[in-house]
Amino acid sequence: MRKKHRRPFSEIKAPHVFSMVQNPEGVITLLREIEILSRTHHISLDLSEVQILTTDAVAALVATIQNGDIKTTTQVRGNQPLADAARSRLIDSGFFSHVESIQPVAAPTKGRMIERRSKKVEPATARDLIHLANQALFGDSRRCPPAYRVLIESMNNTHNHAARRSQHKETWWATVYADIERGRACYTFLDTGVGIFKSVKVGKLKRLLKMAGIESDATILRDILEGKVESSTGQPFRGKGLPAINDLLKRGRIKSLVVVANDVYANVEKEEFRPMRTPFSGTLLYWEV
Amino acid sequence: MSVAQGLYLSVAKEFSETPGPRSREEGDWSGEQFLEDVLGPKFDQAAREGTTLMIDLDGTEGYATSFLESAFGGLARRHSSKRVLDVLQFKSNDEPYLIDEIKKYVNDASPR
Repeated sequence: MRKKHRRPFSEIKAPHVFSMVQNPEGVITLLREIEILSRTHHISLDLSEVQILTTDAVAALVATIQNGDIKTTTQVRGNQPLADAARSRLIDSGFFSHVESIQPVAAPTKGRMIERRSKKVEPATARDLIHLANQALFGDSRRCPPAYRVLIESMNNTHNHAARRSQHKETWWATVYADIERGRACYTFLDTGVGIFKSVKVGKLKRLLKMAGIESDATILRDILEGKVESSTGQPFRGKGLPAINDLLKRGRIKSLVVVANDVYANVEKEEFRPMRTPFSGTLLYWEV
Repeated sequence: MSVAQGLYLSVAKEFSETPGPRSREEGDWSGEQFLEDVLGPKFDQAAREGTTLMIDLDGTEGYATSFLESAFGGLARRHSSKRVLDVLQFKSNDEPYLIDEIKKYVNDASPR
């Protein structure tokens, strides 16, 4: 393990809207800045002016600063948002279970953030996240089959990405946050692997259209969600996970589905699929129940 | 006239409340494990006795597509879609759409 050498701190300011769902490129730009600056500097992260904060962005931030290289070489310190709502959401997200705080921070009761470096699907972890959110929302522990399905499908996708690289283990993060005011459980699943587009078999025609700039990853993601793209395994019974998640959205069993994968942002509920100038290293799914 | 009482299998009670991925290698409580240890033997018993097997899907945390495809599609790959659909019946009050989904996996798995 490399030592955290003496080197200067460099300050990075988080955007006012710290949310992958609402401001993906602002958050991804911040994450890229952290990655680049961490090669030469320790990081001082200024969250003080954050007005809107959602737990999907917190998950992406933790995944970045806990990434092997940064974790072993770089000190990351920071402050908390001055805005009450953003600050309490940061604390309740489970952020400080993974990042040290100078001041004492109360244990989160509305959220949890779990990291795994694993090739395994973990049904018990999915159950625990769901029951934690429902306990906070409804006062009792209860099941939620749609949320469970999305969590297991997401873990499965990560397993399949890892499987393509033999013994490689993907790191994934799963978070839940009980938004009491809105009566919603907000879930994020994030992996820092090869991403969706390398785990599907894009036909020759689509590849040519993509090279010619006519087809983009945004349209390919739309096709994946509609079940029109084959799994990279070529086995017809695989590759049903993302279409099944989209189907849950269409049935109204989940809400606010957002997918950020490599250079694509998709607010699936609003049918907004667009390319991003700053790509995200991995895949992030956000949904609410 | 007496009507033969079919067999009954509750996934939650006789297998797991937390069904998992496709294969044993991918994680706990997989569709492969369910097929080999529970569903397969019970299906064979029902087929031998010339009766139906009611699969009760309720009471679990939920199901991933890969679990359902591996278990029920896998059963159809062992036998045939027609034979599987002749024997199995389904109950799913929690998530009614699962029944059509499973039937599709069974039909897609082998020729009827």
